[in-house]
Parts: sequence; C-alpha cells; structure tokens
Amino acid sequence: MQIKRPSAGMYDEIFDENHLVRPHCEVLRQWLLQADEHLIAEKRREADVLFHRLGITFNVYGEDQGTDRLIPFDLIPRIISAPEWQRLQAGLRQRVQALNRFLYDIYHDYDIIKAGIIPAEQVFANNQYQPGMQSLKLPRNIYVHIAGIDLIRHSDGDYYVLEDNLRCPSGVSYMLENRKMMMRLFPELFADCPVAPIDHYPALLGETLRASSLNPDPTVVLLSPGRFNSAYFEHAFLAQQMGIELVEGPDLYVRNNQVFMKTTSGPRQVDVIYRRIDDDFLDPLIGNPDSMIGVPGLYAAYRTGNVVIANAMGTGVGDDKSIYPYVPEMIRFYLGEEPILKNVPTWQCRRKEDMKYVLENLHKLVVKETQGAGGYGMLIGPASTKKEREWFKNAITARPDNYIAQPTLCLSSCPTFVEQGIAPRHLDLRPFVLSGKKIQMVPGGLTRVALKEGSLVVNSSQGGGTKDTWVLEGEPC
Amino acid sequence: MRLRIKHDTTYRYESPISGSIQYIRLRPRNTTQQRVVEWHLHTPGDTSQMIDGFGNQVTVMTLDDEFSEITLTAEGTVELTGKPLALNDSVFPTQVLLRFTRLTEPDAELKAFASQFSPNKRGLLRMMALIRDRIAFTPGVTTVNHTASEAFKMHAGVCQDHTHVFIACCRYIGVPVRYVSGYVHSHDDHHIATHAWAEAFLGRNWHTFDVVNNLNVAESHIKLAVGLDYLDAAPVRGVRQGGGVEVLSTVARVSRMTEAQ
Repeated sequence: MQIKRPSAGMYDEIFDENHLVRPHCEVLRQWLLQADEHLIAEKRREADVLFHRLGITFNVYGEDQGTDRLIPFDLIPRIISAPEWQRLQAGLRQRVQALNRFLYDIYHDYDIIKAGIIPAEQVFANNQYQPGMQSLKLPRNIYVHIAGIDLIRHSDGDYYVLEDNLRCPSGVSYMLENRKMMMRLFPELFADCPVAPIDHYPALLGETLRASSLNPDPTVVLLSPGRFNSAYFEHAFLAQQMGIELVEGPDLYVRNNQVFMKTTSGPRQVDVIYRRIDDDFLDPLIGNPDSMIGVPGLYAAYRTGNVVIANAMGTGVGDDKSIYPYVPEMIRFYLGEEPILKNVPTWQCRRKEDMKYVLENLHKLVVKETQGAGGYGMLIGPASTKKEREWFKNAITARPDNYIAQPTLCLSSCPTFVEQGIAPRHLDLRPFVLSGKKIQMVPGGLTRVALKEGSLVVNSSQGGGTKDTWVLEGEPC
Repeated sequence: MRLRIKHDTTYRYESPISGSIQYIRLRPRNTTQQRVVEWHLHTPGDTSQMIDGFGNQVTVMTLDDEFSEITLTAEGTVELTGKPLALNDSVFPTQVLLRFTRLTEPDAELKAFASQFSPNKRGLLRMMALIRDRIAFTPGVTTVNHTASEAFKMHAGVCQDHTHVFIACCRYIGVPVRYVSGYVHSHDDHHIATHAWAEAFLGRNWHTFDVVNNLNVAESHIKLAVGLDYLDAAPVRGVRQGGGVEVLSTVARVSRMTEAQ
C-alpha cells in the first residue's frame, strides 16, 4: 500500500524525521506492510456500517435541521508511549486541580485577583461569570467534575494545551466506540500489543458523580436537552453505560427546594445532575426565561445545597479564551508548582499593543473568539482569504476584548487512510479528566483528525474525523 | 421615617392553572438605610427560602392544586434611617456590574448618547436628567421584555425602562451599576408605589439614581432586591401549567406612619 510520508518540518506521531517508524509504533509498521488493500477497504466499509447501525451520528450546527452525519472514523490508531502518557497525565492532573482552585477562588476569596495576577474585570465582567454562584459551598470544592483538555503536539515535538473545556465537554462516547470498533475489526492487533484499556471510563465517571454528593448513596441522573441535540447519542450512551436515568427537563420538578424525578413508582429525590445543558438554560426562573429544556426551581435547590450539578454553574469563566493565558500562573499561584504542560503563547486583543501586532500579522496568526467553541468564529491566517481577514479586522477593532490570537501551530500528523492510499493528516487529543475523591482519567482520550489535506481544523462540525487512541502499557510492543 | 407598606399582586387566569413555581423577591432586608420592623408575605402555596447570589431574600412558592386566581400579599413596616448608602455592601466585586445583559446591551444610538457623559457624579446627574426628559413616563407601552435600546428609541416607558437605559449607559462608560427594585413613598397617594431605580458605584461609594423622579437620594425608598437588570431583581418570576391568558393587577400603598401609630 502506498504510504505518503510527512513533509519536512512536521512532527509525525508514527514516523521520525528520517521517515523511520518510531520504536513504540513498530506494531503498526508490520500491520500496514502486511495489510492487503482489499481487506482494509472491506474493514473500512464494515466500520461504516457498524457505526451507522449504532447510530453514532451527529447533527451539524448551521446545516439544515435533521442532517445527521457520520463522523468519519480512521482505522489507523494514534499511539502514545507509556512514559509520554505518564507525563501528560501528571500535567493534566495539575492543570485541572489548579482550574478547580481558581473557580473556587473567584466565587469566594478572590486571592488571585487581590494578588494582581489576573485583572478583576477580566474575571468578573466576563459573561460566563455567574453571580448566582457567589459564596456557594460545593462538596469537596469541585466545580469541574469532567474536563476535556485539548492538547496538540507542535513541530517541536512537545505537547501544548490548546484549550480547556470545562462546561459540558463532549466526545467521550466516540473514544469508547472507536476502541470497541478496533477490537472488533482487528482483534489480533490487541493480542500482540499491550494497549491500556479504556472501557472502565463509564464506571469512573459514575464513581466521580456519586462522590460529588454528600449523600453516600446518591441518585444520579443525566439531564439532556433532548434528541435534537447534536450530542444526544452520547447522553443516551453514557446514561445507559452508567446505569443511571436519562432525563429531560420535564421529567424533573422542584418542591421544597429539592429536586424530584417522576418515575412509574412515584417521585424519587435526585441528588446529582450530570447536566448536558448550558448554564443559562438550567432554570428559566434565573436564566433565560424562555428555556423549555431546564427545570424551574433548580437553582433554588442548588443554592440551598440540596442537589449537585455537574459541572457546576459558572465554570465557563475558567475556559474562556481570555482567561486561558493565565492558567500557567494559576498553577504557580495555587499549587506552587511549575506547569508541566505548556500553554500556546497568546496575544490578547484587549491590550492595545497586542491588538496592533495582531492586526498587522493576521495572515500569520490564528484568531479566536474568546467565548467561541467548536471551531466557529475562528480565522486561520495562512489559509485565509483577504475578505476573511478584512472581516476579522473590523470585528477585532469593534470588540477587541472578544478576540485573542495565537501563532499558527503545526499540529502533529499521523498516517490516515485517504482516497489515494495513506497520507499524513493533522490531529489533536482530548483526554477527559474526572475530579471526584481524586483526579482520575482513562489512558488516552479522543483523537480528532483533520481529514482535508493540510487542514488544521479537527472539529467534527468542520469535517474532522476520529481515530482510536492507544496508550501503551510498559514495554513497547 | 416609618413607612407602612401593603402590596397585593393578583394573577387572574383565563382557565385554572394546575401548578406553578415562583421566585418571589418581596422581602426587604436590613441595610444601612432601612430597618425592617415587621414583614409578612402571604401566598396561597407552599414556600421555602433561599438567598440568591446577589444577596436577595427569595421566597420559592409552589402550587400543586388548581387555581383561577392567586394573590401574593406583602405587608409590613420599615424604618428609614436617613443614612447614606453603605460604602460597599456588594457581596461580590463591583466589576460584575459592568456586564451587559440582553436587556441592557446598548445599540449604536444609545452608545452615542452615553458617550457624551463623563464617568463621574456630575456626568451621571446630567445623564439622568436627559434620560428623564427624553423618555416620557408612559405606563402600558413597554413590557418586561423591552430592552434599554428599544425604550430609548420609543421615547416612552416606565421606571424599569428608565433604569435600564441609565444602566446601559453607565456600563458603556465604565461605571458599575446595579438595578434596584423596591417601593417609593410619595405624598400623592395615587402614585404607583412599586418602583425601580439604579445604584452606581463611583470612586468608593454607591450613589442612588432614581431616574423617573430625577432624584439622587433614596430618602423615601424601600429596597427589595438588586441585580444586573430587571430579570435578576424582579419581584416575581414564575412558570405555570395551563391558565391561558393571564391578567395581572398590582396595588401597592406606601403610607407614612405618624408617631401615634
């Protein structure tokens, strides 16, 4: 089979700079060498059929309603060596711990602001700051029970955190299904290679959610906006895997500041809500008055300590892109440690000199909306048209505080099946970090891959695909 | 000065409602400017209490039976101390009050208007007077969904609109400001006693800006709740099952008590 090698200056996850297969990826080399093109094509078709049958499709925002699309799955796994994962894991633990401390601080003591490390206005005037969280005591002071931290590997070979997702990070169902798919299609690969298991993720998530309540035997539910949501498959999947009820707003009600679930055997009090609904829609009596997907009175139950909401309300201020540049300082401030994972250098357009630089270098930079997500509201300078740059120039000038810019990083690549054989495609990694009694995660995460040649946008809503992610245990195979 | 308040809020429904939950902010708290001598809130439902993030006392009421009409009655006696506003009684940093909300996001016209004022007391007093002149006090033309920019364009509205316009302008020029809902005593007994005004944070002090009355002091005001805008401080926010069209009527009387009382 024809394998296109990465071009010079790029970091490839499988091939080193001499186009030799990295030692920990040896299993792949043998597999790809032996693989018969027809067999692979057959397996790819099989994967497509299986994913369709499972119903892992997603709805793309901005397209006609009801267009379910399959997220393309690539058969070639991304492989991470044991020592590398150890380091990533330590860095992720450290980062999520600091972010939880930060969220506690900004709703209680404001130490980091008093210390002059983050300007008060950037935190408090932020739209994601929830005054309603003021002084609220949460069990174990945990705000972010589930974090999805987006990592990329730059051409220098090092990992960088691209963004922290602290609201309702999604994608973990793809991570789990991708593994199941690989084990089904290529069981022999797993027999030869010590790939760390990940199928205990739902158990860890359930443990984390139960540990978030003071009740030793809490009732946990997953609150979904319903089947028209793009991640509904995942909501149903996780609820089923954890053995908890999947509910929608109208299934819950509040009496005497307590939340109840309607069941066939009568009302049942709910202790923990794993919500996949944005803050503003949780309770129409405090947020958006038109919300039909929330639970009226939920805020009163939360505020009086009778229910846990995971993730907490008001976590969005911690993953806002204008707060992101301060995370390394948070780690030093709260933990007294040096950050293990690197941040991408960031220009904040709210600063005059930064804005000047950004406007003069739009063609080189990636510009992002501070509160944008999903690859929307983003300019990739080197791939942009003059018209797009002009649009961003106006937008930045009108609301500088809405934008940040970063150098265009060269995301690492990994061999991927394309129309003409196998070619390198850029990818990122989203590990899911769970904070309960302790901080836990399953090895790896969701690997997203940009399927268009040269593209750096991996979001599924923008035509990205996924791969299985292997973290090797012990010796390379 | 001691004030006696009686405030009835009545909802009449086209057809009976079968259930409801409401957040009711009709319970004043003690502040430097007011002391609650006695207070009662009567509702037809079950109630529980919470203090929200702004420090407001919120009564949560639920109804499970059928009702064609419900009345909430708040009544009591409050002593006004005549003292100025506390230096900083905000439970959180004042920068939160710089944030625009859907109701207070200024459009280009409102921004242009706001830009002519300096972010100091003189500037804000002038701004208050001009807003009062521009927006004629006209009940019934706006609803709770009208934004500051809309009311500004319409040249008409009620205290809530005046306050939203003032808030939008203050935030635009960088002055932290909060929405206040409450009662005001007036010598004219027919005056509407439920009221809204603003408190702006200048330097190190809070200042009252009662835009409708073009007043800079809260000499006859009773504070019920504060927030970023009306939605945070609303006396009642609720949802109900059934009911069809609703007719709301509010009667609030604030009278001054004599020594003998």
